[in-house]
Amino acid sequence: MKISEQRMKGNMIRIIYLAAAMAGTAVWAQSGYDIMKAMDEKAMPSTTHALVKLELIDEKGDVSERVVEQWGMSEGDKSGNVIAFHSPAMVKNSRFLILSEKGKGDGKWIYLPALKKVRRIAASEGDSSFMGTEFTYDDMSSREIDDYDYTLLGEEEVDGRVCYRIESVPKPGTDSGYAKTVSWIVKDPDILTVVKIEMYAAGGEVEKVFSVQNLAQIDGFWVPLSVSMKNIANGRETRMIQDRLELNKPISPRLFTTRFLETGRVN
Amino acid sequence: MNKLVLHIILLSAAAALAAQDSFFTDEGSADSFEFRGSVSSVTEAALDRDAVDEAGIHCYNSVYGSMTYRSEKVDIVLSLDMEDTGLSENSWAVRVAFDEVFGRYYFSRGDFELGLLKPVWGSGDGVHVLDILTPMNFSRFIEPDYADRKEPMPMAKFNLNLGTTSRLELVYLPYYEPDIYPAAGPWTQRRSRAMSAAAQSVLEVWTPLLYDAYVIALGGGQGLAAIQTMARMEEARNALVRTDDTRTPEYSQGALRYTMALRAFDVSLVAGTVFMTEPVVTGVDMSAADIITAPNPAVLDPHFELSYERAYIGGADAAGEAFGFGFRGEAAVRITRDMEGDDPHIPNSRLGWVAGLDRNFGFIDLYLNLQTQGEIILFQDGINGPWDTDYREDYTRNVIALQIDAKPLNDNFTLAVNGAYVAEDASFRVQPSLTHVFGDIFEVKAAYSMYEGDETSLFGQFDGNDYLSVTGTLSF
Repeated sequence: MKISEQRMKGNMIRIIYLAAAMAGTAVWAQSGYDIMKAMDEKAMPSTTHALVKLELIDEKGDVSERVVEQWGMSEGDKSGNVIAFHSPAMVKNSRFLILSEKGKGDGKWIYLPALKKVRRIAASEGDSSFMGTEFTYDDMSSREIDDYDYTLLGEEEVDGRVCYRIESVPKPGTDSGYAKTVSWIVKDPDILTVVKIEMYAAGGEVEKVFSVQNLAQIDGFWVPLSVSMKNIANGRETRMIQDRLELNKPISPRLFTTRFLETGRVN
Repeated sequence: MNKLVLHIILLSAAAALAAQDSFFTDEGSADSFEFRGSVSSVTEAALDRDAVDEAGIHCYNSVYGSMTYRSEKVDIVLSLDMEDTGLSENSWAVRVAFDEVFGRYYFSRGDFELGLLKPVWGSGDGVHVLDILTPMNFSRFIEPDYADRKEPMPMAKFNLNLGTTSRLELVYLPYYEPDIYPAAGPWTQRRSRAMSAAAQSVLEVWTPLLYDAYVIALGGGQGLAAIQTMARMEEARNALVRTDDTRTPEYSQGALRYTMALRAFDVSLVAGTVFMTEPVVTGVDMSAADIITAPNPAVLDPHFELSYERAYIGGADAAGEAFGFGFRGEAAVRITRDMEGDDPHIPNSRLGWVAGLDRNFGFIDLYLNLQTQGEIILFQDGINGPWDTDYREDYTRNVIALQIDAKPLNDNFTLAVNGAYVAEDASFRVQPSLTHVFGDIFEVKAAYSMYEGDETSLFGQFDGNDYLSVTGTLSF
């Protein structure tokens, strides 16, 4: 199994699918920054391919489902992610591409079949919902570790695992959807992954809570098989449940092109 | 009753298809078949129509279906629109039209498409100057969404992938199809109405003369001549407006487009040989004085001829982000043979542009989209008078379009207002709407479309067409 030395950049998709990276990284650091850095530098699978069920739960508890397929690839400082919607019919064949390069930010494109064209998503649309979920476009974006200040708040147990509790505050000039976040990261160096994040609004109140419900080790990687994003402000929640997952299997780089968004396949 | 049965069948089929499980695909999956579509029902109440027979409530239904077959190297796509035109209670006329029908073959560096297609070129949102390949259908002016107003064209299209976001498209169209305008009904444009009125007034002069000739021929025992005269009268009524046959190789078109990403902007360059969308209108035997003084009115052939002039187009567009806004822009110049602008029968060259910005405000998912579309006729000094095809009061036109969407309650409920304003004639269109999505497959939209302005203005010509509509759409 080929393991890329790609650094984890905090991309939310990576958090959802692969946040728990492989074992073996010893963490001697005690500061918040050092812990985040250690997590950031853990090895990642070079490719991911997943079938994910999204459950959109409204404030009354009514649930609607969406099924998406996701491909991810990392190479050096570059990474790509594609999400294709399979159901329901109203969003079927909508496709989303993120291309990231360390130090250069993200490019995001979306293809909506009704418009028959690919459209670039502006950073200003980062606050808006990603295809009706409680995730925003910003949540799907990568973040540079040096754009935030970190404070280790202490240790706390989450679902039986001892976790570091770290506050991240965006540095002045950093475009962030939240005033600050507090993350719970499993202390066990074999796991060392995020299992919970509280996202705070400018007013100081918790806006959303991201949590991992089912963390499992697959092919040597700790993988969250089920996660949720609860929006405290509006009472709604989105759950992501992995139906199938493949790691480090060869996939075509042509997936990560705007042409794939239009056609839904590669040559 | 037939309509009801059709609806039940379609809804059942839609529900069955919607219930199918999804699957884990490979990116190049072979031998798969996909079917998707929607059923829509529209009820419209015309609230401001002057003509009594055009007022009232109309219902019409439509079905859209798209089938895609995929093998290892080939996609075959067949999309159809079926519309119950709802002309009357007693006649059920269904219009079936291809939305797209094409094959796509994948090769190592890209793909090749052949068939009836309607690709969208340009980065504008619903307004373009670079979307040059297919005609628009203005049967209901600008009421349907942009993609629905486009008509497919036969074409061969190479798409060469040159990188992650870089691509070269080469396209050939064997002929040209002009934009579609209604000849009658509430959405008939002022220009078409004026042409019909002029033709009618000529007929009123010419047909009595023809009738006199018929009577004289009949009285003189020239039965054959009398029959021929009657036939001429019938022909004249049916062919007052004649369009050049543009479905010939002489009207073939070609274009190329190169797309790339430059930092935070996607940029395209376009060049091609196409046709001016506005026809050149030539009147033949349309002078009432000439008709009256003609020795033999039966040899006259009064009619309008519509022809289309070839143009060479070059342009560019860009879309990206800066200062927290999304920016879009298109610019294109169409060059015709009339380089001096003084040939009254050849349209002058034109420069067109689209510029826009948009921003999403996190608060209640408020989305603001502002665009302007403009055009200027070049070489205006050569235009000498009203007989020039380019003659008009304003040689520029600027349409400012605004769209505001908000989701104040949840993602399923959208309040929207979109409108457009013409700077030169002060006419405008406003459409507030409410949309609610139920269960991710059924959408209900209520909208009110309002047109205001002088009767000679772009939107004011439809001042009497304000209407309320409720549309239900089930996707499957």
